[in-house]
Amino acid sequence: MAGNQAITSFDYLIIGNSAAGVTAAEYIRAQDGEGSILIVSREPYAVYGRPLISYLLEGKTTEDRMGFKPDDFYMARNIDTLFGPQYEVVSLNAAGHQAVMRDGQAIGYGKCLIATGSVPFVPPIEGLEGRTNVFGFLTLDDAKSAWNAAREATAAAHEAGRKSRAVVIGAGLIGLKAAEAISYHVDEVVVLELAPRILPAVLDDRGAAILQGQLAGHGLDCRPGITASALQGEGAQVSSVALTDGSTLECDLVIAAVGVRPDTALAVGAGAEQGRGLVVGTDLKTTLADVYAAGDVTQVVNLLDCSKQPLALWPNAMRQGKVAGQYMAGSPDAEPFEGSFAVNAVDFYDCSLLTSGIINPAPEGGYEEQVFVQGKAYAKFVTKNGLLMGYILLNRPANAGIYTTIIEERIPLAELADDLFEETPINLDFPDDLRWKRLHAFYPSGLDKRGWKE
Amino acid sequence: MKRIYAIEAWCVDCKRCEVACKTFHSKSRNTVKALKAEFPPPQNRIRVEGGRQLSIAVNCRHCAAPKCVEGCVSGAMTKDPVTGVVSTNPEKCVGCRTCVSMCPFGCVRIEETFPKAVAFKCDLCGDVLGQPGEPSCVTACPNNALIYIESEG
Ligand SMILES: Cc1cc2nc3c(=O)[nH]c(=O)nc-3n(C[C@H](O)[C@H](O)[C@H](O)COP(=O)(O)OP(=O)(O)OC[C@H]3O[C@@H](n4cnc5c(N)ncnc54)[C@H](O)[C@@H]3O)c2cc1C
Repeated sequence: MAGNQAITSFDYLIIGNSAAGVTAAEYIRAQDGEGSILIVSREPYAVYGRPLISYLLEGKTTEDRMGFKPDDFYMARNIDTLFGPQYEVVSLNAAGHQAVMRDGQAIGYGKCLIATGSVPFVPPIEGLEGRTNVFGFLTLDDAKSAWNAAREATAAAHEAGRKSRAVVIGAGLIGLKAAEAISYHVDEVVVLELAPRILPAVLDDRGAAILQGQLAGHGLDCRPGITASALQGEGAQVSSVALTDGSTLECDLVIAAVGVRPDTALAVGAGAEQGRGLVVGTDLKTTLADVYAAGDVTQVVNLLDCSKQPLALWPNAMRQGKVAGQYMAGSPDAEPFEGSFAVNAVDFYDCSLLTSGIINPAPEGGYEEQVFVQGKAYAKFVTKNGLLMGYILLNRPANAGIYTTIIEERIPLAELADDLFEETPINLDFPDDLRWKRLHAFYPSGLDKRGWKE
Repeated sequence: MKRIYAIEAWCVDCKRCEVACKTFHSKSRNTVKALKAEFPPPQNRIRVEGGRQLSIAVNCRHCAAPKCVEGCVSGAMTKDPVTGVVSTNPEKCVGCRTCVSMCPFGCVRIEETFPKAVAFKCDLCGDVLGQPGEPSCVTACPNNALIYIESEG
């Protein structure tokens, strides 16, 4: 054991090699050309786009195109890496500035970033543990395992003259993306959801009902209000699922995707404070000396209603990674991280769903709603005190970012065009001065609005 | 970096910028073929908003801190650290529309190409991703309603 051996030390130790971790490393290196940086991860891969694992199964990308950074990213920045299950950090000693990995090796550090992301919730369902055909859907390895199992199950089922079937437990974003992905490799997919609608966190009742119908058109059988009560089958294989409505579904494989939670165990074990995620300041420092945190693992202030929650979204992890890296390296460009709000973009088959901010407001909160339905499109806007607080855009994606910026910049709706919500928003919906300012960042100061020299 | 700026005062909604953009980004780079015969039809990255009374040609601002890049889950959308050009790599893009939900100007859209839909946006008419060229919309504008000049950022 490490005991009296010399311990390898780094100025910066980053735990987690995904959106938050690599972005932090990039910004640390931009500020500090000399300091030594080590990124460790229990996943054996260079950083990849985690949300792409479903697209891999759909054939919309390949494993080598999923790399999130160029191949020479780590080398070019002189960043050391240890990727693989043996490099999982199992304990952290903040006072001693040391981390210990699964292989027993200790690493000393000057500053440490916890970028450990999310772990899946394991639903309390009888017969879930110890099965060989039950999969999660959080990592590239999860996706590859489910994919292999689906192909094999389908081949075997067809051999036996029957159809193959997958059951997905959970109709949140990850569950539905998993269901879509696996639907290309099995004959039937049934999606179970405890809540009374699909996508309970990012849709409302009406939008969910519309999307559920559209998904049914693509053969996805979503059953909100019903979940699994037990997984049945001899030995390690699940062969059927008992449902809460009393029926039973035969199946060849199960994907469990009932949700994620911040992976705080390591930091909490070292004494860090947690709320609904690791508690961090606006400099993304945890309550432990020289330990920072960024990404899914943190508790984030929702800028729209000041609530505190984890925000398991890629862009948020990117933004926090940048801020954490800048503070860790003492960059003069570092700006306090005040909070964030949700922007979700997801597509299923030919359906597109973009949602942001508050979409299911509390009835007493003083919110107003406007709804527009046309053909396959469903749009809902939530406003309060003359400000846009959130939107749902199902099959109406055009220029959605204009709405996002109106939420983020708190632009009073009274200043904007009257038909802002009815139709695709455009830049002309903004008043003259604001429009000029928005569209002319870095405009040469010697020129007037006609493009002439003043 | 050099940026394209729209001068509202001179824009007459002629849409020549849109045609030039489509042509440059077509397979044939021939206007007639590009507009009439190509499939999938080439898409213009610049768009004229409004009409006769008031119009403005809008395209990517190549932001200093681009939201589309921050949001991109695939690593397809990048800002070149040297040239400042923001571009998207169709090989890597999976068409999830995060960029569409993030762009404050409505300047990234999704093209339904085969075998997958991908994001497209102004690339300043460069021949290589991340390298600016001579923007065809500016060349085509008869009114100086689009100018391509060194900006202050
Ligand atoms: C299928 C799927 C689809 C998604 N789609 C979208 C989407 O469309 N849009 C969107 O915004 N977000 C999406 N997300 C969420 C997005 O992927 C996350 O918000 C993002 O990956 C968070 O990044 P992160 O850096 O905080 O952590 P993570 O990506 O969770 O990475 C953390 C890493 O740290 C490693 N790690 C953890 N603990 C240790 C330890 N003790 N030692 C060593 N290594 C450790 C983990 O193995 C993991 O590799 C999706 C997620 C999934 C699973």
